[in-house]
Amino acid sequence: MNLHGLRTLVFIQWRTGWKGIASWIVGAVGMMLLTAIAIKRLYPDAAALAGYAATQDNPTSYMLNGKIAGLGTLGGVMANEFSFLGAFLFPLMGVALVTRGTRRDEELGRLELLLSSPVGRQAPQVAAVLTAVTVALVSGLGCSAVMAAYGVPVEGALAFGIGFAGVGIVFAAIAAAAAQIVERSRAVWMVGMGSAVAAYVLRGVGDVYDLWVRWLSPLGWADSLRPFGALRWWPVAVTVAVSAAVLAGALLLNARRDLGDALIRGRPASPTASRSLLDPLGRALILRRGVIISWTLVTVVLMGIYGAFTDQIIKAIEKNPNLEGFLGSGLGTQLLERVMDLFLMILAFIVAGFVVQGVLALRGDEEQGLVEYELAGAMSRHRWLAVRLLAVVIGAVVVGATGAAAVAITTAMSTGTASDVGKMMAGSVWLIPAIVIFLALAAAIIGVLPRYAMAGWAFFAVAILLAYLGPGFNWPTALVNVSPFRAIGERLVGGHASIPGVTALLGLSAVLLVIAFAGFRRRDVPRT
Amino acid sequence: MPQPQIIDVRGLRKRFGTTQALDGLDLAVHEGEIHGFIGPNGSGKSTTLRVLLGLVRADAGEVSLFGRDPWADAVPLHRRLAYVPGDVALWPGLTGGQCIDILARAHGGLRDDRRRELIERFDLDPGKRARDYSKGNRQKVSLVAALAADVPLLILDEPTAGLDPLMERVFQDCIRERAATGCTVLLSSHILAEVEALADRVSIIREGRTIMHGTLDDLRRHARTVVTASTARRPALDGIVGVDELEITSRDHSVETHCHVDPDHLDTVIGALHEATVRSLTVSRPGLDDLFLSAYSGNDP
Ligand SMILES: Nc1ncnc2c1ncn2[C@@H]1O[C@H](COP(=O)(O)OP(=O)(O)O)[C@@H](O)[C@H]1O
Ligand SMILES: [Mg+2]
Repeated sequence: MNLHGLRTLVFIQWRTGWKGIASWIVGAVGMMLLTAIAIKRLYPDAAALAGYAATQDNPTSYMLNGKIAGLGTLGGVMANEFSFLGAFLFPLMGVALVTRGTRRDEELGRLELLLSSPVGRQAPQVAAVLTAVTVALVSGLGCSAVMAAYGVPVEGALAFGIGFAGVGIVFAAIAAAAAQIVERSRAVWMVGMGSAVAAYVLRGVGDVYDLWVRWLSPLGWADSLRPFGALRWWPVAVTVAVSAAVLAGALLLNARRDLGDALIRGRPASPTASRSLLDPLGRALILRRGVIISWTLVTVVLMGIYGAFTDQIIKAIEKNPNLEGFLGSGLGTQLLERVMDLFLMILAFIVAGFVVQGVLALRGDEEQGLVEYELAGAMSRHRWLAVRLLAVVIGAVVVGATGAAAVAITTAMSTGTASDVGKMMAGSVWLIPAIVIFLALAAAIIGVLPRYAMAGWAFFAVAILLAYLGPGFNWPTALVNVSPFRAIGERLVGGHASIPGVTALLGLSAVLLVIAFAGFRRRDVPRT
Repeated sequence: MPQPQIIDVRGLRKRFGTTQALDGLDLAVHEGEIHGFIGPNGSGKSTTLRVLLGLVRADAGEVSLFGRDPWADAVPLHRRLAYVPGDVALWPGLTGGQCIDILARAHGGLRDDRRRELIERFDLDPGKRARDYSKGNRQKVSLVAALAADVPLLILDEPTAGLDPLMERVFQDCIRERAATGCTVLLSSHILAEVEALADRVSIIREGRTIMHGTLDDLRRHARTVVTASTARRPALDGIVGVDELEITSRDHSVETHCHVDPDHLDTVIGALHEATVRSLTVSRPGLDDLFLSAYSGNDP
């Protein structure tokens, strides 16, 4: 193994990636902080904590959050609330940081440049993993510090933080191995996300049915530290051993392959363009096929899991009316519909995220000079933009419709009432204005201020925050309703969407689309 | 006889933030010619071509392409041209052959026979994915797509960057063949030799302004001739119009003279040398390199 120049490479990683590194740490610790603040407020004493624990002692919660040891303690409650977020945040952190320094740099030719200097063959990979390990540890220990600051016993808090840091580290190793096996950084991402979903499902199934499969999941290893119950440290060894083994495999594979090569190569490709590739819309769809498929799969799985637990969620809430607060109180028979609404809102988050990503990807095309190239052909700017937006819309319909069908069918299976399928599908139609507004907004950014593409994500994040956390924090309704996800109304199932909200969103979307097209017709291409 | 102009640009200005990319640029390209558009890096070549394609809107100045406004009539105009951008980006996941088909379709169609022939001549593997191509091979994809299109105008932005000398020859042959069929070519470059080998006329720009234009012979005529002579006596050259950088040194029994002479005054200078009894004489035409170096360094020759 040749690690020459490792220090320089680590320096380069931090120097060029400090923004990403900082946002992962701030994101993880910040979310822990928000969780801690909320829990301190909502459950100020032992009785309240015990009450909360009682509501969570059921299969739904096991599936979603894992079976947390010591759930009735302050730490246990915080762990339970942070669980879902952490289960995806830490894996993605590890995958993102490693992909960035390995396959993506390789793809962009930067690795070739680096390796032509006196830098060892394995140094870039190790530098990326070291960076990811450091960031995971800092984030995990940051979470520990927050917990301890809010009164959780230090040892438990420490174990909790180390548990999640370990999750990040395992996924960093998985990404390092995937970067040797597949050819594209996007594929590394897909392997990472797929493993994250698998880890989540395995842990959930293992906890619900008390099965050994939880030991296949890095999340299961973290839980088995039992930070707030009968604490034990030996599962850390499992994390370390598996990470080390996977990493060793990655280094071995790396040493045996050529730069730019991969264990699994892409399909052999045709030297001529098919009819659909020559058509601009067909081309846009074909080039994003992989993205559409992976979003669809993830959405179907996630929404299917939600739906499958409808019955348990309802029973849990009926047992503990405290939980109703989030959905509205005194619901009685409407409770089921409100739960369905909540599922639909989550579906809207996902589809809106898909739309924002799809539209803002046009910016990447522009930076690469592809937009200039296409517009130098005989296609008008309006038609170009329309076609590309249409491709995003088609993708969103696929993701949204399959997601809605998945959640509607599994909900109906869980409640045992077939007519719930139709009810939920009908309700999902009302999500459209909340998604279209993000399409229009992102398009307007591309049309007028392409440099501020990140603003599209900022709006998206704020909208989710308002819609998801606003009611729990008792923020003013007027503020919460600014979020498109709330503006459409909270009672979509059963046909009580907010007509003024829907009208306003559609009107605003139309205005933004006009701005997008007018702006794109007038501006320079490429514009930096 | 005034030839019809395919491209006519006058007083073009464009500012990006604090950078004045184009500062009163002029460019005239006649029908059927190969026009070299030369300037150092950052002088505004790519920006000019993007204005011609209606991709970038000029702040001021007149631009006409086939007698029309490229900003307003981009689409119909683009049917009549093919473009090779400077920084060639392709779809990384598609093969070179797929990219060629897509690009040629965008340029208004492709001639199958030409596609096959060009792929062969450029020695390109069309079944490889674009992301696996070297820069030179991506450039070839772009060139094949442009050359295979049946259009009367080619706009090429530094098209040979990344090509090896052999491929550069192929490129030159292909361009000449297209020009022979009446196709107009606007070829931007910062490499003199390439333009010298191909262009009928050239425009030289610096810092967004045209500093010279004309045929290569025209330009040469404007440059000074270098005269080196050895004479028996001192020639009476001091104070003669059109003589520059005059150096006269006496050595034993002869006088060495070195000077730059304006072509129009060559006759007078040779006369004066003759008077002083010429023992040896060299008169060299200016190299184009000198021309460019002097143009780039800011001395108008
Ligand atoms: N989109 C842009 N934004 C800002 N500056 C630009 C942009 N395009 C070109 N420039 C600047 O304008 C000048 C001319 O650039 P360019 O036309 O690319 O020159 P050339 O092609 O001759 O190398 C350079 O200083 C360049 O940095
Ligand atoms: Mg350029």
